[in-house]
Amino acid sequence: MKLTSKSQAFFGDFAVAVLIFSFIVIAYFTYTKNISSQDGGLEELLTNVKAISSSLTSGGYPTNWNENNAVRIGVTDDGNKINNQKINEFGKMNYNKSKKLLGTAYDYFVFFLNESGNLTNVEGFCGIGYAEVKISYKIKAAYYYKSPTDNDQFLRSFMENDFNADIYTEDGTGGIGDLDDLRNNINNYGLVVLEAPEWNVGNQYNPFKPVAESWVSSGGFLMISGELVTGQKKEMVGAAFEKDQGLSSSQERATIVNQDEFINFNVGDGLIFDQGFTVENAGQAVDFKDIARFNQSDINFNDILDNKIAIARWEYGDGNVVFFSDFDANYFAGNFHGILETSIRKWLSAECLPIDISNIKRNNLVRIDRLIFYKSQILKMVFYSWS
Amino acid sequence: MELKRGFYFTFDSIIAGGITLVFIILISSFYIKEQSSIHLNYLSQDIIRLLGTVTVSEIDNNYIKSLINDGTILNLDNTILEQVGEFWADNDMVSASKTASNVTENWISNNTGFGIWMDNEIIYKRDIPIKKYLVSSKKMISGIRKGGTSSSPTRNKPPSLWGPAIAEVRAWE
Repeated sequence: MKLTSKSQAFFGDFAVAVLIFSFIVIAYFTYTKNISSQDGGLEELLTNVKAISSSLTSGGYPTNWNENNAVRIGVTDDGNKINNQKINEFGKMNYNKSKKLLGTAYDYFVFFLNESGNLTNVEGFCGIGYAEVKISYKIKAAYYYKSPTDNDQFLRSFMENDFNADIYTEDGTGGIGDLDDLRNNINNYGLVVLEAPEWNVGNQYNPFKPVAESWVSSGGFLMISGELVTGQKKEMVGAAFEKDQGLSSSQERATIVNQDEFINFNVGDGLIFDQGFTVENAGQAVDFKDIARFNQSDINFNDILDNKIAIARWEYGDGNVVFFSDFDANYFAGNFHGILETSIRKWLSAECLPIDISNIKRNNLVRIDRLIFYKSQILKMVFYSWS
Repeated sequence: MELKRGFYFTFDSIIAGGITLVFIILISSFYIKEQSSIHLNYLSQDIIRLLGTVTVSEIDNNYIKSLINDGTILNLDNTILEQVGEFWADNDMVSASKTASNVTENWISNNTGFGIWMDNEIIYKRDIPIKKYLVSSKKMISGIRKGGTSSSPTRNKPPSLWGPAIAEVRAWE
């Protein structure tokens, strides 16, 4: 048989092959283009998060920045050591303002883990950032106020929201029980806040006093504000409470006389309490510390130092007590209630419950871990940001 | 009519297939993103910064406390890195290694390699093979030898120094 050396081409088959090849090439590039555009969003988020984590682990700008003059937020001193003042400023800052200063359009949340992987309370904060991430403390709390018709319930929403506190009132209206119920249940709580109780001596103060003293001395944390008891110079948990002549009128001026490691007031700053109630050491209070005193008729700082006390804290047995003349107050140099709430979280150093971010709606989520140093231990600062 | 027969050249088709495959692999490589080594960067940086600034008296660590209590650590102002360096300079490699591992162990995940070197000499190292990345951070340190200073050093009685040495933290996966 004679073989020819001519090739043969089938144009129909060739056309089909070219079509199939073109289809595969187009499908491939369409697919990879989509992947690429998704990566672009993630890449931008990642770049953003890297910049923010570097900013947070710096000292920020200016060096001693605060909420009002901050240009760049950073919460450490040299060497990744947490600066308490700066983390407080960051924690209490408006979220949108903090996003602007961090230079991000993305939502974020930052928290701290100890070496066992447990969420750690840093200066009263279990986490900072996006408000819808629920923060809760491992402490059972109770809040007592006179009645729902009373104006003195300034800490009620804070106690309900942050500590999921059980609410008690004088007759039980608007709460889960009355004063007798609180007395019976007090050992279930780690924190009890009494806001302007105005107890009478016979039926309320007398039965409550021994129970409260036993509870505080075994480690309870008690906060009192306003008029504890209508009788003068009545003692409880190591101190004597009174509504002094001349202090009962509204708008009582006071001055911070001692810096406290927990409450972010500055010495010399002024406050105005709606009503003036005072406390003094009755002998059993340990480490009694006066933080603010009423100005009364004095103007000079040194003259105020021996005036009546408006804010104090002390130890009683294994527990702690804090007294405020009134939770209805104005602090000239800042937000009184914001500072008070931060201080309560710090005073308690309450254990934080785990944070769940799984319910956040997002397309991309980036996490960066940084190591920082806080109060003798290394912590992991976990920074989440999402789009 | 003469029958037309097709010819199929196997060798040619293999070459063509190979060229197509290489082409696709090359194009794909532009789109596949490698896993980021960013966390290793931060890990090594943060650890060397912490070890280089936190002093032995500041940290709450049982092993370091025991060394302070038994008098092995005399200078409480030493940073942890300086203390490791001091042990290394005194040829006390066991204390150097244990100090480094005690402070860092809990912060490194089990699948991450980690080690500390002093002038390229291993102080402490996790035996995990390097698969993808290795990141290194360095710091130059020096110090006074243990017992190398009198209560009031003078020009004639200067303290006995060690270093400078390059402390290096490596992290890898």
